[in-house]
Amino acid sequence: MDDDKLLEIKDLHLHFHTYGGTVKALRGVNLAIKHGETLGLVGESGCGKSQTAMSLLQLTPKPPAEYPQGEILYHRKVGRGSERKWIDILRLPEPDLRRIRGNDISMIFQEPMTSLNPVLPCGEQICEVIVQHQDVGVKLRAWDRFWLRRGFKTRRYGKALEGAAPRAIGMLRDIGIPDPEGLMERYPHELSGGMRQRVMIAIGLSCDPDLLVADEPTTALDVTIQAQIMDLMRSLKTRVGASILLITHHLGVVAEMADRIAVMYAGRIVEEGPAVDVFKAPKHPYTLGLLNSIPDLKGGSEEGGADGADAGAPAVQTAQERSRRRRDLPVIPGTVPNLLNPPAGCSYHPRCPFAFERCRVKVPELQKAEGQMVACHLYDPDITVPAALRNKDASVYLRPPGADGFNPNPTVKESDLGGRAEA
Amino acid sequence: MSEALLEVEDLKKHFPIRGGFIRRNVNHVRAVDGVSFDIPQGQTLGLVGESGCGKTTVGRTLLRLTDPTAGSIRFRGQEIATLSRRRMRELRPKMQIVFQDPMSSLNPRMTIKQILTEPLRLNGVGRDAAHKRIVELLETVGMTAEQANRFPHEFSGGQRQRIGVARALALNPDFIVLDEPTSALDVSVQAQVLNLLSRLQKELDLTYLFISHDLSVIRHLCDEVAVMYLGRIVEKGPVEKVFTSPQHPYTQALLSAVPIPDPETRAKRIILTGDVPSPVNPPKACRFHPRCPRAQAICREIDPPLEAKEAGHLAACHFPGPQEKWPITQTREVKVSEG
Amino acid sequence: MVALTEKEVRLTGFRAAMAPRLREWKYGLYRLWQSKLAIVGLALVVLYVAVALFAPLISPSEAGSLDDYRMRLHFSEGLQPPGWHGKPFGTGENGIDLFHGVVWGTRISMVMGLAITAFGAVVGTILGGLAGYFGGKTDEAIMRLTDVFLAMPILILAMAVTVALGPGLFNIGLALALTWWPSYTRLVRGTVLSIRENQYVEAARAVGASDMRIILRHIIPNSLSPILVQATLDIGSVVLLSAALSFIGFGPSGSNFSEWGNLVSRGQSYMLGHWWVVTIPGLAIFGFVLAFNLLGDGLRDLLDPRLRK
Repeated sequence: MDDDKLLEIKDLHLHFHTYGGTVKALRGVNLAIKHGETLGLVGESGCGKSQTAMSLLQLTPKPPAEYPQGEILYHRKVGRGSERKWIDILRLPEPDLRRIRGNDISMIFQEPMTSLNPVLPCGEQICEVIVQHQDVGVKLRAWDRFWLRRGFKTRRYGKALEGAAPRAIGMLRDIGIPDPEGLMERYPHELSGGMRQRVMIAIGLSCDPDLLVADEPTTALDVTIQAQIMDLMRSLKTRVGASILLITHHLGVVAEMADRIAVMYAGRIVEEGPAVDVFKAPKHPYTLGLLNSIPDLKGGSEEGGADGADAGAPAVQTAQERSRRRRDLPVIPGTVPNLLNPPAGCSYHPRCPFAFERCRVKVPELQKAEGQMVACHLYDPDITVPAALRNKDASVYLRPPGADGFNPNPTVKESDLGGRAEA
Repeated sequence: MSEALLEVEDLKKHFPIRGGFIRRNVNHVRAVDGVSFDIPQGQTLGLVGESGCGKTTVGRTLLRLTDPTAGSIRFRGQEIATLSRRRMRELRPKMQIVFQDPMSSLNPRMTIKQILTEPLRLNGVGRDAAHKRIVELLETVGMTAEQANRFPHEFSGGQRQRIGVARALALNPDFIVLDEPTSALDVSVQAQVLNLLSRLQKELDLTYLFISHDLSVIRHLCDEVAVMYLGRIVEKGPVEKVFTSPQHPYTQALLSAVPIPDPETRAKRIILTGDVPSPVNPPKACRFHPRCPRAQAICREIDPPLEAKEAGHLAACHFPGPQEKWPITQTREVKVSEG
Repeated sequence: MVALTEKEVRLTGFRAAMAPRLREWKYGLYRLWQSKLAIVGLALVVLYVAVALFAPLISPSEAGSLDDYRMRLHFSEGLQPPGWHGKPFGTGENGIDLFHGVVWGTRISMVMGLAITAFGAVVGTILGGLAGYFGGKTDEAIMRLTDVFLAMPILILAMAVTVALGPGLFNIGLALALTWWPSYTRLVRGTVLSIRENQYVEAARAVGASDMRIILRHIIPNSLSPILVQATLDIGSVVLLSAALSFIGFGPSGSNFSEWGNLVSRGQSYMLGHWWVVTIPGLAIFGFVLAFNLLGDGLRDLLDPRLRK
């Protein structure tokens, strides 16, 4: 166990029992977050990234969800010193989980309007969390908690909230809100989307957590507001020293914010490594396809295309010329697999232009490949990496796929992949 | 052939706000407040802006799904802003729309076949001809005929969006308004849909109005782009020009705010403070002046008109040009951060 | 006629068209099966429906009675407990056969419940649909009218109707129907207001659909769920209320009419010492209302879009 690591997910499996069958949402997730780093978890809808986040705090209701296998190991602070202990979140009883939520690990969500309680003023929502976990000078008794659970606030609880107010106001001021006292009084619907997200961040960071899980925090915001929030999160991270698990499908956001990136597909991690390495030299064919199917803000056509003219194109073109020259985006054929019945072997093989025999049968493990960890048989030690991948040539995705998405004539045959020279 | 298929002049759409006891008109939401543009046949005009800028309203008003408060819309030379309901219905087959939300744009109680039959039957196509057409349409968008007998919720978002495109194509339109068609889709699905739209435009000589907040998609698909802010166009021109040398400070801020999928590029970012003001009471004179890094006295007094700074490239600003040219006058309101 | 290609045949076959709806039904039944209370409700409802349908077989009228609904009076016999002389529910005032009364009363209640609820639902849907879709003055006019009717107390209205038209079952029904439709109007108007905002409605307009078509083809089918749930729950309430009105005396006159409320009313005086004259018809009412309430609750959970798949 490295001392570096704050949280480690080992071989996590998550099943949902539904009418149509058992949905295997997570199929062996292996992930680690270090102290003070921002890990970006990227993937498309249905890949399981949100479920991974919810699992960290055990927020998914247990039936119909079930965790048949795996561990979530958290290096938790014990007492006030710097001593820490490893615990398995999956095996924790509910009262212990409650102590962790908001205090050691906190979470912010995508839609701030629905995450905030519309009938409580913002200040109270922030103070609630503080009162729950921190010492505010007023000790709550069982009597207070009894009534709180039934929706009533006792006078002592009110005093506790007041006691938490200075801390909340301090937090808001740190976040750069010009009038924190005024904001405390206002209701969520009186605020704009960006402000609401800031309140969410305040709630999330109010108890100095070790880990902040942010599930698509900027997806619902306008571009300029998104820039503000990203800037805010970056500055807070250096100040507060928390780790961030940033979950998003937007590759631009993750490129700006994350130190390391993990790419998820169909319930498994397929690639993981430092952000620069994953973007500059993607190893897994899915990552390659994904990165190249984003329209480029800076240039008209895609790199990796057969023609060389892109960024150097003349500034003035007639419309006719433009539409003739406009390249198709390289596209990953087919669709995400149905997790009721995922494909055997590597989940990506039906859509992979490099698939070969082994991929249909054996599940690839995460293994080291230059700077990153990749779950792909192309990097098995007894094979040499095909040139197309080495040069990050995404043109392979521009070829029309076979009938059902699976490329019947894979670029790479098992026999083509020469073994290492003997000795 | 590049004659303008669609000409819009000074389009306005104000929504009345009723307040008070007797429900008088207290105020107006000036969603669209004087927008003009032309789209030549076979081309794509992109309409960009953030929430509240009015771009969606423009799309709907063009198709007369809501009636404009003022202004002129000419489709193939014919004025349609004031056309009667009945005459407009005759024109509908020529102008169609693809909606943003794949969940709510298809009636959950109708099968795909019924959804696609509806436009055809409403416009006088016989049953057998309609069947043939449906099979054709589904194949055009990359789906199979068997899927027609299913309900929308049995499909993924990308597939539903394709069905929306098929519905828009059913009547052989000349002009299609695409209202954020890929915003709700994943990256790889978005690529598929964008390629489809591109191909269809070439094959069927379609004209598009592409509304989006996603600048990279706009750059990829559009010929011309118009940037909207608070109901007005603040910059307009060929997409290459506007993206490589934006003139208006809002365009510059918008472009610099887009997160780039490249961890090594740390863009110099112009971060505007404050939120987008509401279109109910837009700021006087230049609407952008409260958030503008280079606003001066004249900006608070005179509203800059949208005029050409270079051939074909228009901007509505007293001080157009790159940020470096102008001093930052409101230092406490704007941050320029190094990524 | 042009020969259809194979694809088109697959597209148009009746079985192909029905397949998706059948799938939905199967899923619906599965969900229903999961709620035990809903099953109980359904079973009870089926029982009551069977009794109502097969009343002549279950309890044929005695020779000499005026009609099926009026029980034969046997003045000589007193009140007898259940089991006496083959009368499973005993006899009531003047020797009327309570079993016969309850069985045929089921028919009355079923008809009353269904008819009044149907009337309310249909009228409410039309008015509510128009109000919600068109808004503006139409909305105002309809809603004010609805408010007027909502404000009427059912009892006063029932009395007014009875005074004007005389007591009797039909008149109770009339009074109930008049008070029932406003709540549906409100319900449907609210549903329509939210459905109207969906993009598929705009899409229909974009392809040239008329308002009438949009209402009938797009809006109403999607607003059926709350109406159905409300109607099912209401059947119980209607019957309860109609029994109450009958009990008070607005209903059909005569001690031997087979209507549950009437039976309870007549049996009041003999309650002490002869528990069955009141309890048995009372239990029938209770069971009926319970059955429809359970079924309605089950339906509501079933149709809740958030709980799908």
